[in-house]
Amino acid sequence: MSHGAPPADTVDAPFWAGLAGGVLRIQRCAGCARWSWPPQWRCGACGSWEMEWPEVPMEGIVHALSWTRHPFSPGMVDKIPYPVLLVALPDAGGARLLGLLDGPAEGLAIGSRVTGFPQETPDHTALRWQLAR
Amino acid sequence: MRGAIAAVGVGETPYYRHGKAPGDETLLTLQAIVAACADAGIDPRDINGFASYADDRNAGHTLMRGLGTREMRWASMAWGGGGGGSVAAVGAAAAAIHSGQAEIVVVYRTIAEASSGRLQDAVAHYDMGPHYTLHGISSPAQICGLKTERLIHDGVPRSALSALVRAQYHHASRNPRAQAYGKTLDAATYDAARPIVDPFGLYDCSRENDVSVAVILTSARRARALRKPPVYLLGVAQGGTIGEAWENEPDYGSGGFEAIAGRLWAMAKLGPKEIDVAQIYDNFSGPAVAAIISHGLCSIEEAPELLTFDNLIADGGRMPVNTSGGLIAEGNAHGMGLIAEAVRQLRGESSNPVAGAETCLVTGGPQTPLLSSAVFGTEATL
Repeated sequence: MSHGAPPADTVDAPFWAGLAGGVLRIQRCAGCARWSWPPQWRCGACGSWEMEWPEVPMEGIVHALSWTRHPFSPGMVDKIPYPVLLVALPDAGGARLLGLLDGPAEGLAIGSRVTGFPQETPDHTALRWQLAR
Repeated sequence: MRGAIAAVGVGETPYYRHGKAPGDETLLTLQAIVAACADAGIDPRDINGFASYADDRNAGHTLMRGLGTREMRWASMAWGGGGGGSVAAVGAAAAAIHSGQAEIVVVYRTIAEASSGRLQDAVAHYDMGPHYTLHGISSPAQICGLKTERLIHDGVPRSALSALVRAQYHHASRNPRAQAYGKTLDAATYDAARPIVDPFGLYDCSRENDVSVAVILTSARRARALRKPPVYLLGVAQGGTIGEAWENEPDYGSGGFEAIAGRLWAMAKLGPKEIDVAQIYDNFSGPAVAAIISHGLCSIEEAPELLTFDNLIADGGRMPVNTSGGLIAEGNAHGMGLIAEAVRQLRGESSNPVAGAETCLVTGGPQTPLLSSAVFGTEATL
């Protein structure tokens, strides 16, 4: 399920470029080491313009989840129902990513541990999640 | 500014089904503003300020020739694509009047699909970048569903959503302007609704309408010379502490109003316990419940006991909410209808009058980077 490719020139471009290379990258300030998500051009906390994009393990905890049951767009018709996840990354200061599950949903709940993996779509590399074993 | 500015006129078109208005947005806007002028006893030519929000396309200068505006002295727009700025537009208008930049300001919001497309598409386009659209999210309903699932996880009972929706239908059933006029909603019907996005069924979701709603503000001094009892602005606040967050708000399920509410109560010189009736922005049931809680009208712990149908209705409820039916059951003017209802309620003109109501809280859209809310009061509160 995708709606075009992400733009290449925005502040989050390294996130998408990371996925294309098979890794998850989250922004962190090089000046004060605070995690910065959503990513910014400048760290509002310490004033640094030096932002870095370390690789982060694709391990998360479901912070919120909601099943979509109505096709809000034509592309959803043969996908519903499906769960939308908000995944918190313990290794990136709790930064949260919206995402989709790709795998069995049995037992999926807020608090579930999930593991991410890159998945090729027609126009970009996506991050998908499955319940951790 | 407490008590220095008053709402003096409300006007609106009917709530048409989306795409069904008999004219474009300019026509609807003129109809609403002229009706508000008639309500106030003001010559439309004397309006000299214009305020709106949510990228409304009907800038003041597009209305001047139709209104016969003698001179536009001030016009402004609250930022944001959703309803978060509805009450911020009231605050901007009040600031303009209070500072002498304009004397009579109309606050309005107009939606007609023929002019601006589907409201849900406009909001999604404004607020949702690729981190949403590439992850199966194309409607604000899905984000509100995520936040509400978290709110329920944090302790708010699902029964609160049902109670609020049924109370709003109860109110709308007696409001001739409402889409749900004549229709109440029982718990079994609510529970059996077509599922949309968890935890929402069809009745938890606001409508989409073609409509224009206008409210006229002026100074308290001018207001006292006009037709109807002034409804005074006791306090208003806008802003936020989080900024654009991509779902990274620290308290994810919250309505987000904690800081706004603190400034609001300080300016109004009263607190949530002194609110007699509330008009709470209800794009969806869950965010409205979150807004009630984050204004301090009720805590999460109190929610099971307080947020019941009997407590939320105008007929003797402890905390009457959305006495017009709100966006869910009256119709969706992107929050502007709630402001009109606040004025009607404090004039005693509501279809669901709250006995002895002297104060009314009205909120803009919850869970957005730019939030806003206000308290209006009668003469007795000054």
